[in-house]
Amino acid sequence: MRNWTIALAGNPNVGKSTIFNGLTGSRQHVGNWPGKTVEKKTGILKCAGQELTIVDLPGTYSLSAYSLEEQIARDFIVLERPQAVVNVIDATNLERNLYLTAQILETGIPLIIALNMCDLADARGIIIDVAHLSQLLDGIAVIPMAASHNHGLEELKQALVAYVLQPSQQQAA
Amino acid sequence: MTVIGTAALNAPIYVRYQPDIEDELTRLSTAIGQTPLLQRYHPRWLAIQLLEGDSGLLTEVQNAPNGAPVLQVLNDSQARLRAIYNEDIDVILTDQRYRFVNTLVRRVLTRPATQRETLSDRVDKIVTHRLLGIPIFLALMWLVFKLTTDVATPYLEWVEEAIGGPLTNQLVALLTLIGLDGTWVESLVVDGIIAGVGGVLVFVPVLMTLYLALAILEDSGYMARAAFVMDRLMHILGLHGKSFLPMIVGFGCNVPAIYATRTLETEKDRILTGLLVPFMSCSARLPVYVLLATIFFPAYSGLVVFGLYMLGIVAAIGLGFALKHTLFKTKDRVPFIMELPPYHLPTLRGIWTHMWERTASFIRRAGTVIMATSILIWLLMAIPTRGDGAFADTELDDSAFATVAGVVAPVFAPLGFGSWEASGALVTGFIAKEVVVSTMSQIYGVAEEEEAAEPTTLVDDLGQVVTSFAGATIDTLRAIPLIIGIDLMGTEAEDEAEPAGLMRAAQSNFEVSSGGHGALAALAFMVFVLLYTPCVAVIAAARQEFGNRWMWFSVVGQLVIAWIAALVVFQGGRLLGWG
Amino acid sequence: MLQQVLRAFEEAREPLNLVDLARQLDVDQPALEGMIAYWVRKGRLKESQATASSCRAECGPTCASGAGPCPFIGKMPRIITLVGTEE
Repeated sequence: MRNWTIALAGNPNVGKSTIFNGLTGSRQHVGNWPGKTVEKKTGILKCAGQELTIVDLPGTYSLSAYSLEEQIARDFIVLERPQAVVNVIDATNLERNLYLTAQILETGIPLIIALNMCDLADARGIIIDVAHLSQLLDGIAVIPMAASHNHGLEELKQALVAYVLQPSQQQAA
Repeated sequence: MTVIGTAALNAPIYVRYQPDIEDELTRLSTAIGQTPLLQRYHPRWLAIQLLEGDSGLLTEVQNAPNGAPVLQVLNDSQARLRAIYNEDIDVILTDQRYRFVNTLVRRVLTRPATQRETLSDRVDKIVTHRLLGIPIFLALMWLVFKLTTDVATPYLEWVEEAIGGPLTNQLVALLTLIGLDGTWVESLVVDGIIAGVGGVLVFVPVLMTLYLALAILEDSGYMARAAFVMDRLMHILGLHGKSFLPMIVGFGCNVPAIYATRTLETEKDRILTGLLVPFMSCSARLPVYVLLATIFFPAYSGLVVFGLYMLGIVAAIGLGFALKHTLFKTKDRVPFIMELPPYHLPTLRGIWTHMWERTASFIRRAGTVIMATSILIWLLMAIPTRGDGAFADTELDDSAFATVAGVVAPVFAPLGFGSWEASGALVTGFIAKEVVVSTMSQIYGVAEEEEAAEPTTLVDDLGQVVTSFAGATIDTLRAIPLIIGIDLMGTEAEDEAEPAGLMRAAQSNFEVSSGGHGALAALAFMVFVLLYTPCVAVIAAARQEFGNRWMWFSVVGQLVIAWIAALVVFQGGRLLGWG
Repeated sequence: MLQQVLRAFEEAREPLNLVDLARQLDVDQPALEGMIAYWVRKGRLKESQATASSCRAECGPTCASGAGPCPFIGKMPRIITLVGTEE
């Protein structure tokens, strides 16, 4: 079995930490990014006999390396090349969040979108056509979530496991 | 929740750029793919970063062996694209990424029809309305000054009584105890410090009310709207919009307002705004208005104060308009975008902090600057230059202060307040506007020697302070509904009590100097106080920010404008047969 | 998108409210903020906000509000202007 690394990326304040905690539970390690004063959180997700290392990247609006956080997030995605990036998106604030998504897509790393805060979007009457979003992004997984209510976490875990168990991924391993 | 798109994630998905950009990206990616050391990067991603001009990655390419061909391709690509787009390439790429996102959002997102109209939006539609915005601002300001004068007046009288009666009595008793009664020390304490500092402290309730009202307007988010509305007006008149923000600061204190002009871009705009700020009536000027308005316009004091504040704004805008078309000509009017913070209900704590910090600053000034000036003025009033008085025992008219102030007095004669008393107050008022009040209170307080107070006990005095506070509170509660025109108590037309003591002395002094047009002269005096140099701190700030030349321009300009405006009020009013 | 933002600033004939600008461009306000942040970084737009400074340092002895920040400067709204169009 190979060691899988999944990065968690997203804008600040989109519920990334909640999702990180939901995925990894108590199996967490908190340290600093090498040579930086920015906190690095890693954790292990055990699901369906698989073990995935989850790395929580600093919250950023872009990957353009204007700030230390952006630099860290970008270098990790581009140089460490995780097997996939889970892009956490605030459903109430789709337009600003998707800019980061567009940049992550350009790194060529496979992407899963965790569309968080769907409960808040619902409450505000915002309707997001999830199927259409997925389709417009060439069929990537889009998982509606409300992480603060534990909604969608199982689905995200399933999607991650399904992804690593894909024949093409298994061949690569 | 349903998971969508469990399909393979492996097929690369990209933002597709314009074909000409995609061509260059392909060229660059190919070159990158042929350079072994750069292969740790995704070639297309690196190509995009290089085109966008990422300096860190560029250095890496420069240092890579065989990096030269990549740089060559990069330079050619950049040159070609720049020729096409005539803009930085990162702007083009970022723009297209935003377009991609915008298109995506438009296709997948449906907003509720009503969602865009929040309550804040709806309020803003009215409050920042092109036509309604300014009347609303004026109405709110009128309410503020009505509140300031009507609600605070009973407390003002309470503080006045407490200082003039119990406090003075106890201090005199104390001085008598240590055998200093009847000496110059008693005169210094009673006629100098109590009259001067006390005369200013009397206005603490007025200032507190003003600061309370301003804090509510600021904390709720309204003041930003007021600035926005006024800026739009100024913009229409050809003035730099952003000026009104510093000017709103000026309502509290002109000094930070001068420094706040730093937010303006060009030196010209900074200086121009700096010249206008002093016309915004700062809170230190309020006691002067309230004092004179209560004496001469007891029924309309709120309106008079409001009118003066508005005159300040009109003078600032008028002068700005004149200067913009003469000394400060610029072609461009730079539009700007302002973020109007969402409205929110101010917290009691926040309002209290704001109000208290400002009131504390006012009290601290009374204890320092005003105290020092009061002592100095007392000294000048104690030294005889004429007649046969002795130190601290001379007719005021014979004092050094009267002599010096008398030299300036003729300048103000055409304005209706050519007495040494009024001009003395204006001259010392250069230091700070509260000094106008403290000086008047010293002069008129002495002129109107109070009848010998009967000896009182400390207990009696404290009792009096408490009962009169209760009386003031009742009066205030009665005044509040009256502001909006509701007469709950069926208030009997309050027969104007004969102004007492200090007020009577001030009144007769203005009547004499104006040849029987006291109210008009008082109005002219207030206009002069509004428009002439606010205080030495503002002069210092103007010098520091704009240099000596502009500082003098500002000081002299204000004096000239104040003099002319007061002249127009007094002589014009007389011609029209007012007062 | 990005360029439309800059154009809106150039073409504005009077002061605009950020909310109105977002509506005019039909973008979410947070997304507009992102674009403004980009132009500010590029030096084409400028953000300014008056902030309270220490009174003692600037106002001298007559202000005497103590060492704290000047109490007369409240929270000022943020203002964004175009850079480089003035002389």
